[in-house]
Amino acid sequence: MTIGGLISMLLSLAFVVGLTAWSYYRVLTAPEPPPHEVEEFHSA
Amino acid sequence: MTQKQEWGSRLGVILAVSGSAVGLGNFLRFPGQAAQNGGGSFMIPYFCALLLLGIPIGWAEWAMGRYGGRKGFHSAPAILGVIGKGAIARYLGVIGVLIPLAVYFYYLLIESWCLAYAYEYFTGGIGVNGKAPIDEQNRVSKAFFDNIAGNEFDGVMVGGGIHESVVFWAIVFAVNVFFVYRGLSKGIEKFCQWAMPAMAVCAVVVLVRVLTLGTPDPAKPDQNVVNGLGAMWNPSFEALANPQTWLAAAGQIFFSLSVGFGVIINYASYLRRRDDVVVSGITASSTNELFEVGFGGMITIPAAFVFLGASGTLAAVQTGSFGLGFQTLPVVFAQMPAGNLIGGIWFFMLFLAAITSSLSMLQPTLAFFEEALGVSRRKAMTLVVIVALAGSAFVIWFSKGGVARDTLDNWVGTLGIFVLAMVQIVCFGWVFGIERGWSAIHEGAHLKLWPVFKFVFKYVTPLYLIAVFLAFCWNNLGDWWAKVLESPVQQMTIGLIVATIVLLVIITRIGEKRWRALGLDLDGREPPADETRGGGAR
Repeated sequence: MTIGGLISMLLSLAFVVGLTAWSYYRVLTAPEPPPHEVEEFHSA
Repeated sequence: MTQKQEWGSRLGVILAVSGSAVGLGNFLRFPGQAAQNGGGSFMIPYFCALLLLGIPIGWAEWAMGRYGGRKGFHSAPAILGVIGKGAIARYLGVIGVLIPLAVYFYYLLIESWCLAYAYEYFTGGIGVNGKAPIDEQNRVSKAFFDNIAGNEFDGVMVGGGIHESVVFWAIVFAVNVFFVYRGLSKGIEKFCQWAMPAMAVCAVVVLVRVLTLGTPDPAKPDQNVVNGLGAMWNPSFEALANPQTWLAAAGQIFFSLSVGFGVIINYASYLRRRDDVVVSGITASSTNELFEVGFGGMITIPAAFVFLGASGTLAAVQTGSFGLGFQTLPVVFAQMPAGNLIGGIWFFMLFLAAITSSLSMLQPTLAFFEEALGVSRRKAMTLVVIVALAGSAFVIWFSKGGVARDTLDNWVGTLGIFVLAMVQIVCFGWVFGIERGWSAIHEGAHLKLWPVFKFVFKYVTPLYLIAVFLAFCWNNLGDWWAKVLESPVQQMTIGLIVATIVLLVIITRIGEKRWRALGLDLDGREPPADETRGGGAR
């Protein structure tokens, strides 16, 4: 494996792992929508 | 208008969309494409396509689906009729039901292969002797695959007794129908909440096994895991000057993320008004990327390289995804310590990847039949089962050389996806309008997109998509059509596609009349009712 191969592998892995971790952090820490909207939804 | 369905949690819908996206292509197609198109340098056009093509189309689909859901619609024809403001977009939206349904015709069979392989490995292997000469191992592996896939001649899978593939196909079909019929939150969501983590655990086990292989044969010191990673990741920057590399990268992103497939738009239609589609969209995409780059890029090619060397790996990659996954990897597992266990885990993981995708293919058709025909869920499910059985029976019967399967994959699973994605992004950016689209994306969002993405949605993504589509047609359509003219089976398969389109158009016409009679705003002339009566803050 060349240095270029190592760098491209590590950068790619860092990007996808970082993006996934950040995304799940945002999902799990975001507040839930107000409960009344669940009732109103689908009433169109 | 139809029985109310909704997601149980925001994580549930993300895992369901991720499950739909993560499939065999993540583990088998991606590494082959990368290794053949510049290795590590392939990731430059790959990530460009992710950011400019895959993620923006995904966001547009999430937003369009939720907007259509707020008007009471859940199928691609109805939703695109609203977003595209009229009958043309509505009938083009038929492609959003055709794709998941027609792909399901053959995908279920591939899913059953994965389960059959997993079963065989957990119960002793497929008969490849790792100590035999390599040609003999390849012969046994190929013979097993040809038998499972019914490659030898048409009708082999249903003639002369009950074929193993048909048994596994019946099992996976029953499991699919069971979970889809249970509904979104109790069926698909529950299954994906279990299956996605299980898939990740299986992938980690196989990854650890591959990365700890070291140098299994001291007589061949070059065939070690570090060089195996090099075979996958060493960059070849001259490949970037080849347009084929950029086309391959865009194609991989496009097919991998399930955009333009008719699934996301359906799944998103069950979201609540204030759900965050920006973060949900990027989370589903990043989960797919984790499986594709993090596992697909680290397992398949290095494992093949360690046991087969550079030339053997190259030959395996050139056999395509099925050759690599179902013929070459069994040879690799035969030579690997604890190979049967690892092989079983690997194919079970592929089965989970496949079933989370196939579940998502039935749901859009079910929703379409329910809302267009105005029938109960049970009746709509019965109709879905009849159509899916008819299409699958066709693919099972015409199994020789996978001709029917490949024809469906080319004309619907590949070409159709491009067409639907273009229809969607044009409707979103140009007919619905980028300002309204921008508002629709950001409703309930806790993350605001950079304003530059407005320009991306309106100009960059459509132009990028059209360029890739034209290059794709230039490279493939002439060849595909010549093959159709030569092969009666391909002609019959095209007939099956046309018959399915006619059925869906007729049902859309019935739905159109019903929706008008019910006074629904099927041409998207008015804002959603919850907006006009002030339900929820803006």
